Amino acid sequence: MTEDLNRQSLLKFLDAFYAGDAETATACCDEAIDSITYAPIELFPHLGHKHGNGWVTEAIRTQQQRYSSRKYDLKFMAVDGDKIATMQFLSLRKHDDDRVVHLESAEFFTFRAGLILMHRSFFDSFDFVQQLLGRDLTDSFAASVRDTLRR
Amino acid sequence: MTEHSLWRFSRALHRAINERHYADLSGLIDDDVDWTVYGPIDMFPFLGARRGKAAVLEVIRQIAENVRIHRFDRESVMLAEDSAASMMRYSLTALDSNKPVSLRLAHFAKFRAGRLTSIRVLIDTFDLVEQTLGRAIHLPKMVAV
Repeated sequence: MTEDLNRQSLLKFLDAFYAGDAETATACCDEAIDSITYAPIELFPHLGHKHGNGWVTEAIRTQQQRYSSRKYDLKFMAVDGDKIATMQFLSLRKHDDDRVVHLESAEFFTFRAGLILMHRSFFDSFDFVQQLLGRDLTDSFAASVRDTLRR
Repeated sequence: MTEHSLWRFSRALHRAINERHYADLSGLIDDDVDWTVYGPIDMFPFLGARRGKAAVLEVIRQIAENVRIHRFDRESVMLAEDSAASMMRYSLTALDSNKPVSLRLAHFAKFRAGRLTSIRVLIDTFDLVEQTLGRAIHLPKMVAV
């Protein structure tokens, strides 16, 4: 019963988040929501540790400024009591050059009274940086990484 | 109460990597397993996609030849009937260089009849590359996800 409510609440949140409906998405979250996206914040200053449900509106606004369309496809969901894990395939169309970038995102949610209380997220950040830059970075670093592993 | 398939698989995987004992793990992997660890395969050839038990056991041998697990903490775990997901923090050593590496990963696994049929693993790969290089990669400020 609780699991069904949490699942419905999460799907409502994701639909609203990617539809740009900040009010509905925020209503799915506890006021004291604690969110961490593990990513290099020197590169992605809007990610990292955020506290409070104002984060939801800010995150939607930031993404809308950068991307003309944002879509998610839920690839995996595991529900266990008040916790839900998802893997999502995200497609984001950049405003500046109209290129579409893709990423798989791991998201872990903890619920309290049917609302999202805790959110943890990360993704294949090296690949995402390459897509945003529009160039392959592996040539620059692959030899160094392989040498370091062997040294 | 029957133990969840994740726990048996997790113990066998860690034993395979640290002790190079593959027999237990082999019995817990479906013949047609679908395996993907997302990341830069030009830098870490043991990342990427594999299909079938033989290919997966081979890539686990490659991982065992490259790293040793010192410690892992399961920060979050979700157990469903035939699936499981965890967020984990690993402390590893790159064997050839004796270099310590700390990484956070998420895995999403599906099981059938106690055997792994599918797994997807996500890693904060930018952090992994920087740790391996031993220095920060300087790039311009980016847009947020």
